[in-house]
Amino acid sequence: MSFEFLSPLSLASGLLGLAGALFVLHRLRVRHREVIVPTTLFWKQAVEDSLARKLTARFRHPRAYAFVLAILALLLFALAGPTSTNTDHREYVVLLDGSASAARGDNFTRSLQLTAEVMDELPAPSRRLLFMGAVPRTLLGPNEANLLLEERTANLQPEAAPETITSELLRLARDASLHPKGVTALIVGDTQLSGELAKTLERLSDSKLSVLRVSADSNAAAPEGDSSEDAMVAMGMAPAASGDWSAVDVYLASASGKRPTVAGIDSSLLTGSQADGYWLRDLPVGRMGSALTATAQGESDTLTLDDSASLRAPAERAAIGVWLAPSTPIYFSDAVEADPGLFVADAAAATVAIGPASELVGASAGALWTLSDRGDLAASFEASATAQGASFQSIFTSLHLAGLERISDEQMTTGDQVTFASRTTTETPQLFADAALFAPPFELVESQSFPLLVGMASRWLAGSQTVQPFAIAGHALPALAKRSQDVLVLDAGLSFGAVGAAAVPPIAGNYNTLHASLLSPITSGAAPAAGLLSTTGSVAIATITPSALKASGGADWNAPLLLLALLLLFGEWHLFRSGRMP
Amino acid sequence: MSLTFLEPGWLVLLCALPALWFWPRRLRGSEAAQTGVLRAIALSLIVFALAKPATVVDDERSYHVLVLDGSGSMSESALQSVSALDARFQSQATATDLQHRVHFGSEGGSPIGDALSRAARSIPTGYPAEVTLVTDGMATDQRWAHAVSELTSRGIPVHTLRVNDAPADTRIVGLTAAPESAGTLRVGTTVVIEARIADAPLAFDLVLEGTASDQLNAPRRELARESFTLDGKRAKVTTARVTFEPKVFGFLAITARIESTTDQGREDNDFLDTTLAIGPPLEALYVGARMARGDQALSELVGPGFRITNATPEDLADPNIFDVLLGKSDLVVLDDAPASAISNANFESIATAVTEAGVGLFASGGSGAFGPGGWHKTPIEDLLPVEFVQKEEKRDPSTTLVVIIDTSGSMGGNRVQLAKEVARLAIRRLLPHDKVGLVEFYGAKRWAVPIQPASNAIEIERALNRLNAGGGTVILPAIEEAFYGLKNVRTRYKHVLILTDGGVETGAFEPLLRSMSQDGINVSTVLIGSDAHSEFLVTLANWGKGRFYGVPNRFNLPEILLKQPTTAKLPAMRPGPHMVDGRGGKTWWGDVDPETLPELGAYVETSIRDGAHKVIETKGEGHPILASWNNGLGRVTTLMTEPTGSASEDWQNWNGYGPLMARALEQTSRDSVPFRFEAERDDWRVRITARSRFADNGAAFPGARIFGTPATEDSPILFRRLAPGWFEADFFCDPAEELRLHVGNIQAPAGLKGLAVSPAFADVSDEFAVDPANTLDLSLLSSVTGGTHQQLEGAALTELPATGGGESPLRRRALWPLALALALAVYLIELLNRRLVGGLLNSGRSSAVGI
Repeated sequence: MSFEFLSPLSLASGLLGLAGALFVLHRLRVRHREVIVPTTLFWKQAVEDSLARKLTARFRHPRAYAFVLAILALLLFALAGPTSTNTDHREYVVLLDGSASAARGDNFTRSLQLTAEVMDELPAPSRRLLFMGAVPRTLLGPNEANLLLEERTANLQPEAAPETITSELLRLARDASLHPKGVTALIVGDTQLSGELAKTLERLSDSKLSVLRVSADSNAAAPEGDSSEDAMVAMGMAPAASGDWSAVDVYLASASGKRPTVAGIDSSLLTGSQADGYWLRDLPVGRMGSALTATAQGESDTLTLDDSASLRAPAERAAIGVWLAPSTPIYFSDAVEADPGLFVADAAAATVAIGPASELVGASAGALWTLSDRGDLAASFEASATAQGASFQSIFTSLHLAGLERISDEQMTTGDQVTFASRTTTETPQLFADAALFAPPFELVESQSFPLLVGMASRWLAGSQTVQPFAIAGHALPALAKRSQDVLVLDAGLSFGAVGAAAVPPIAGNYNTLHASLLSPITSGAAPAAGLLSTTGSVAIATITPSALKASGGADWNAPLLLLALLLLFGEWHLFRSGRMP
Repeated sequence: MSLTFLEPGWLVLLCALPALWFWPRRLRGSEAAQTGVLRAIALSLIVFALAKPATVVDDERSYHVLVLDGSGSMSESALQSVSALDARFQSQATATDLQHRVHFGSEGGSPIGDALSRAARSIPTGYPAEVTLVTDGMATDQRWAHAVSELTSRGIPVHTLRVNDAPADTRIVGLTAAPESAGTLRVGTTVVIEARIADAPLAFDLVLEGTASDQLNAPRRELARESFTLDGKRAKVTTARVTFEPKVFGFLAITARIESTTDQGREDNDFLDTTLAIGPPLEALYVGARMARGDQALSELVGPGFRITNATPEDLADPNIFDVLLGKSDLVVLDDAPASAISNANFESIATAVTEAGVGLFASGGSGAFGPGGWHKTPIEDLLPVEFVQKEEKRDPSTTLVVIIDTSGSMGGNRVQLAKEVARLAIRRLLPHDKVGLVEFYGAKRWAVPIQPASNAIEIERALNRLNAGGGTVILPAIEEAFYGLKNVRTRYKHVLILTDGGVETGAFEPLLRSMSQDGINVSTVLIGSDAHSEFLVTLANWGKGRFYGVPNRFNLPEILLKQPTTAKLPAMRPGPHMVDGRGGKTWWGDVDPETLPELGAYVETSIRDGAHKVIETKGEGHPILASWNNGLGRVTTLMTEPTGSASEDWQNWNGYGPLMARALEQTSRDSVPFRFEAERDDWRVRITARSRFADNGAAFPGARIFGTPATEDSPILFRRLAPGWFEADFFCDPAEELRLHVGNIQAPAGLKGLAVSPAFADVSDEFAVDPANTLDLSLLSSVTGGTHQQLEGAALTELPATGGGESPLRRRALWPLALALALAVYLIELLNRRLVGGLLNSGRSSAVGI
């Protein structure tokens, strides 16, 4: 037990003080006063009465003293604010689901009511309330008054984000394993949880984490997906499989499998099937405008946050101008001309310049590809062969991926024989290539991948290597587009930083560099929650009503104390008025 | 400020207060009324307190959270500095500061992200706050993105105080397959392992040991050892690469260890473990008919990286069986298999498998493959990177012609001239390599022109011009002379042409001519200057297996047929030895030195096609010997000689031949798994990403099963497509468990035959083996969140840093303690009043009032 308003020392001191004061009152002869004796006739009487007018008298009513002291003690005890009614010493964490699934119908309003009821039943020092929106945050910390809940939830709304409760439960499970009495997590909301999660939590917490779902009805069934709802569950983009530089392929899937509608696109252009999803093949990027938006909406859809998804495509994939220095071997020109994304440009208009170092001096292009002899190359690269030097490695890796000619990375970048290297530390991206690569015995130019290498390298230099495959709320951005040192800024002004880790847009919406969509099959009920092993479904977590929590949380001491004090005061009044109280 | 009752229901008790006036009896008199009022006030205040009156007021306070690193990587002096800072922090607490401290690292590891999350969670919504992080930044995991997002979205600045780095200590901080090996870890291939070594000594040995991961108790075998010497200075992180060749398919637990005499630091971080998934050998379907046990010879040559299945004649005869075999194969080896041994349907199946399924085709051999009767005009001809050069020879067989001219008297006049004309015509048809002789008979015989090359046309013509008619007609000796002369001549054809007017003596012509015929000498006869038919000359021609011609005058000169020119294909194999050159980089050659390539015994001449490239070519002529290109989804490589036959005997004795052939087959083979699988772990969460290696046309879909028990094998991991060519699956797994998977394309006949592995604690570093490249950038963290960054040493922290974020922090002000305090006071007053005031008011009474 702890005291909210008085320290135990203060309480003890107060009790002692009251006991002392009461004792003094008991010893006080209240009839003591000075009496003027007008005549000796009354002297004898006055002398007799003087015995009763002493200032103090002996302590004659210990039971009355104890009775009144008990009343005073009760009042003082209640004043101290005994707050610990946690009889099991567990920690209680209430997780209010603020993910997109809470926005279905009036779920969130009911959840707020339930939360208030739950918080009333839990001991303040050992309970806290977390709002599990896109970014979890503490609504009520330990000992914070429930009164603040109404204020803090006044403008609270579910967010267009996938559920974050699973992560929090995993964290709580780890904490619970170290907690002496364990932790109880109370979930308020309909979010679905993985069937594997229960087993995992049990193992992770050494069975010290209890997970309960709070419901108004103790017999409530586990939440399930609503068949009347529909949602977009996939939307991604990739360069067109046909090889058309200015086009992309877009993949779409809805929760119901029905054909989604795409703004500005004739639905007949969508190919595919209900089971495998739908494709927009060879979609010109210019046709997408600033974003491509797809919608899937059920007939009585009450959850609208997941009904649409958007992809931000490059506004255009303009061909990249490449200037070839006079001494640049002719096969570079052939490769540039063969690539629909490149064209041979004048020096002034070029984005990328390719040639020997001596001819690139003063080139106005924003990116340079230097063809040098090995000695010169090593010298020029010496200062930049740091961690940044490996950044072009992905190009070679992707050449592997393409299944074309396999270039040995080792051959390209091995230590003292630098044959191919990149530098991005300066404002001008640069590639250095050993000219020997293009002559015997390497003869890279004879490889089928040489045009591909020229194309990919030029795009890498021009900064337009790839399209963003997808951007999903709560999902790390694809590695190809990961700029983990950037800060994502939502239209609403919120900033999200990753500081070197994988960047994750927490919430669906427009950011400074991308548009993230919800696309959560778990929210939409299109897939079993998180557990994507085929044998698992969503877990049936035991439900509990707020009133049932009272038993586990213990009683409120303040009210009984005061009620007892009231009762005693009435009793004492009765005795006093009856003359039986001294 | 509005008054709120948390439990207003208790106010109903106020209704009972009037009872004080009537219970147990009515109050009378001012003393009683005074006591009654005091009691009513006290009781009202208690009921008021029961209803819990409270107000919500603005809170001026702000939160200051100190996050302190106590991990093992912090030096003693650093920990002392942290303690001192903590003490200063506490001493600066004021009434308007709410302080909170988060310690981390004392239980092993440096989970900075988790600590930042705890810091954020300790700050209730709405409060301005700041977080001060004191650490060396050596986070053992990279799970700080959520915490940073939480803090940035709330506008809470994170001030960072960097603790000076611990002294340099050599440690292995990363151990992975090099990018070029990452997708091709397979039995028999060269695997490159990269070890990232922090603070590497200037000279050290990197030792790689391994054992099958399911045989942890088995002794570890040294796989590779490499010595490294660094130039000059010690780098923060050095990447060292070692190579080895896996021998067994499965999961291989490897340990990299540094051996150095100069490393004086901790020894428990000089090694690092990981597990590699070594894929199965490539499946090669061998189709060969000319070499006995060619499949076994090839298998021995290329080593364990290939499982070679021989296609039997029965397999080839049944297209269905052949298609099944093709479906399971990564590579088809056509080893000098003549077209006659393979049906057109089989060729078409191979072509389809190469172009549409990406199966590799390695076509090798000699004349059976690339020569006559080979793959010319078959469905696979267009797949090949070379064009057939089937040279044909126009054969004009060498001939020796002996002309016997009758110069007897009967041939006088025009006849001898006519005979000369016929002879001239016949000789002109000869080519320079032919030979010619001229015998005249005029009662005797004489070699007017001894047998000599027909190219001596002037001399022959002169001799012919000198002939004149005169003398008798005795032909038999002339024929005998020609016969003997021709016996010593070596030409393809030998011919005797007799020019006479028919007045020939009788004699033993038949035996002579038949004998000549048996020796390959044909005899033709020409009747000069007479319309009459010469039965005798016809008979001579028949005996001599020649022809009879009649030349009545100069206007009817016959065309003497001495030989039949023909064309014929040249032999396909060009016997050697041939000098050859190797081209290309390490992709094809690996560690094999192309300069050591021996001479080639024989090859089939072809020409390279546009877009194909030569790996080996003949010196000088540049004829392709080993050539390759992509065709459709597959790769096709041709070897223009027998890989295991006599033509490549010198190569077979060369120790680079096996590795070269293995690389050539490996380069040609289909990638057995069309997806690149990667497992990312985030504590208990596992995310498997499958990236298509080719353009996603919807035909392939990844699949995976957890390797191990039947229960897990029966639980396929379900992928979902996020974007074209991008698939993911999420599930839970104990981070302490190694996750081993079967992976592959569920729509392919080969199924899930690939392997992938996610080692235990793949996302967590050892406390003393944190990769400097993965540390938390404290400066960037401060910059992103709006905080400040400085070194701990020298940081004054004379006052608490500024806070940020927060909107309108509120706190509850409880009024019920005040009500209770008042109730207590009022009750005490009442008691005192009953002693004092009551006594004063009732001085005449002795017993009614008192305690």
